[in-house]
Amino acid sequence: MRKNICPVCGEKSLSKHFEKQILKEPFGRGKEIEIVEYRCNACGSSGDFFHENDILIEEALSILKAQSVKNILNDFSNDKKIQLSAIERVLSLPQRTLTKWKNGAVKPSAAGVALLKIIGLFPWILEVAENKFNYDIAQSIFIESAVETFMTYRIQERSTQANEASSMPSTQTDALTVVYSPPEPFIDSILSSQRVEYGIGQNNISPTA
Amino acid sequence: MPYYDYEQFKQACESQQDNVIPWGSVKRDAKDIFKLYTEEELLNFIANGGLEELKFVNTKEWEKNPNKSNKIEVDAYEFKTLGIRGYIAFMFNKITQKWIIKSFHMSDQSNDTMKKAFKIAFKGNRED
Repeated sequence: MRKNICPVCGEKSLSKHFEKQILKEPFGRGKEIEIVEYRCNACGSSGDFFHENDILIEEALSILKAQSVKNILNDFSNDKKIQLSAIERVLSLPQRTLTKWKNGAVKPSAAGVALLKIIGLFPWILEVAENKFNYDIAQSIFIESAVETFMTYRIQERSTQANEASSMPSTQTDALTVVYSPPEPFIDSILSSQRVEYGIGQNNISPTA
Repeated sequence: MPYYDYEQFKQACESQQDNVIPWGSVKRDAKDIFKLYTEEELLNFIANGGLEELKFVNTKEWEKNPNKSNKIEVDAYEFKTLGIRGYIAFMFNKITQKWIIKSFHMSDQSNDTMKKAFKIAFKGNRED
């Protein structure tokens, strides 16, 4: 189709514009791209009428995804001190798969990228995998992770409250903390019983039981 | 009653992708709301039956049509995909032989039950 004819209304009233757009990828960065947009002065329609942007977007996303994969895997091997070979083992991936992804030697599939994002966000899923995806154990791991997150949040809230002159709740979250604070021994007993029974703990993907 | 046969539109999204044109705002919403970054991803999603629980909303004449002799109708539907209730509107120009996706965003009728429940939960028994 001729590029001066609007495919929406059929009038010869198109003008070509360039628009900057930022693409973002979780665990990655943002990347600015310049996309083409046609505007019709007759009907007011606008868009990529001649399918020119997809290749540009796909290329940018591919770069962002590679960066995202590298960041997640670096986080595991550098910060969390979890060996990539251990992750490959619990997820039944062929050995060195993650290293190849990290080095860019092999491009992970879309499913592979999605898997990495999930374990990047919820590392305790590796413990679930280590326990052969047993439903009951998975529930326990999930609850323990939630309780630990809750406790961390509560400790932070307490230190904030201690620094404040007034102990009265001033926001809805303060009020929630006061209302839902369970007694310490209760939380401790839950955490210790989980660890004894399943041998799990934060950042520990090798159960002892 | 819809003006167009939805299956024809879906078929075009599958096998005649060059003849389906999403407006600029549609592509932005597809990216920001539905994580469909490219036109191909959007059209494949529609072609693969991604619009679940389709519910016809209405048919309206395209008001901004500069060529009034070539009347163009717009069909609008609501749909569901996972937890999102969406809205799609499309039309077909007989002269250019193009399908145009005019809207693709969250429905105004989105179920906000969970949002309300959280609001009540956080409010607790306190009187604001």
